[in-house]
Amino acid sequence: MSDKELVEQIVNNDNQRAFETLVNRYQQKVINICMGFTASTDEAKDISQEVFIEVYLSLRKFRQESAFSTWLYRIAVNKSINATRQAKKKLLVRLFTKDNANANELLIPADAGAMPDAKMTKKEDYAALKQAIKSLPENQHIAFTLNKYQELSYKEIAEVMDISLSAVESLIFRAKISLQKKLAEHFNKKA
Amino acid sequence: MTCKTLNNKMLLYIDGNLSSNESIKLEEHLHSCEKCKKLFEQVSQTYALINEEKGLAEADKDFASQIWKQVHKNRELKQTPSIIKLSIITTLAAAGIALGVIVGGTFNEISLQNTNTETWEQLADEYFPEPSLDYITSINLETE
Ligand SMILES: [Zn+2]
Repeated sequence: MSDKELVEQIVNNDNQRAFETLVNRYQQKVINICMGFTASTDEAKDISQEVFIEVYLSLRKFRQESAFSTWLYRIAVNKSINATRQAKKKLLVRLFTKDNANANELLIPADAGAMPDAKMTKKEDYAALKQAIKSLPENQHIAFTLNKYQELSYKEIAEVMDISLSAVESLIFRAKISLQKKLAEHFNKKA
Repeated sequence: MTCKTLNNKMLLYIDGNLSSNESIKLEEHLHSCEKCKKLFEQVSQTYALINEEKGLAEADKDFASQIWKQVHKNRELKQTPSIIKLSIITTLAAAGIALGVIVGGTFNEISLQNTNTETWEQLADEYFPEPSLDYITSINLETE
């Protein structure tokens, strides 16, 4: 069944099977997008869950003017950004309301923890990469994530972000140069 | 091609975003410059971690049915149920930037001793405002 048919089944009949088929079809893609905004696999899954809940609750308002996937990816980006902002805010509040001894503990980069043990030696480099990605301006971050984590074409990214193709190209181009610079700094520091 | 130029273009090269002419120049430089060659190896290995990362998080088998249960349990809710566990998430950078700004920008006025959670929440709101969702307002969640 096409996405469109599944959506109709859900909207008209509240069909559980149709909904689960749709979720199964896209869950990994949504998780991948979320991974572009976090380094915690648990958090990526949490956000993905929120994404599909939002999808279900909003599906009646979705008029099929764009592809379902485009609409879905927008929600995923939206939720991811929302979650990272909330997280930054929470951390900040915690940092200054707990005593200083605990504050240090909160400063340990959690990102590195997500990589499997076999990659222990690379954790530092991985943390630097994630840090660099996180520090990108928001639009660059979104475009880069959709491109590298989700492997969407520039045309699909343009649709999701509702910007021109050349704007997408420019965002991704700048993102890669900026990441490159940060990585070079990281390795030069190590050397 | 200079070392500096090459330093900007490694990721573009890795992803095949350079013209063939530029790619050739870059390769030539890599062959003749030990320093750039070493950096290139480090950078490309690290950049490739993105691909490994993509397989790290997998949905549980009953992911879809869990969501179904959740939305039907919460039928009366108009809003998305808040289920997010704001677990570990944040990074050194986020904290560092935040600290830098707060310390630099507001330490003169506010001393740590007499601040409370509320004050810091206000500050956090200013520094990390609630998402305006500007760009995503075109998302047409409300397509009416
Ligand atoms: Zn060189």
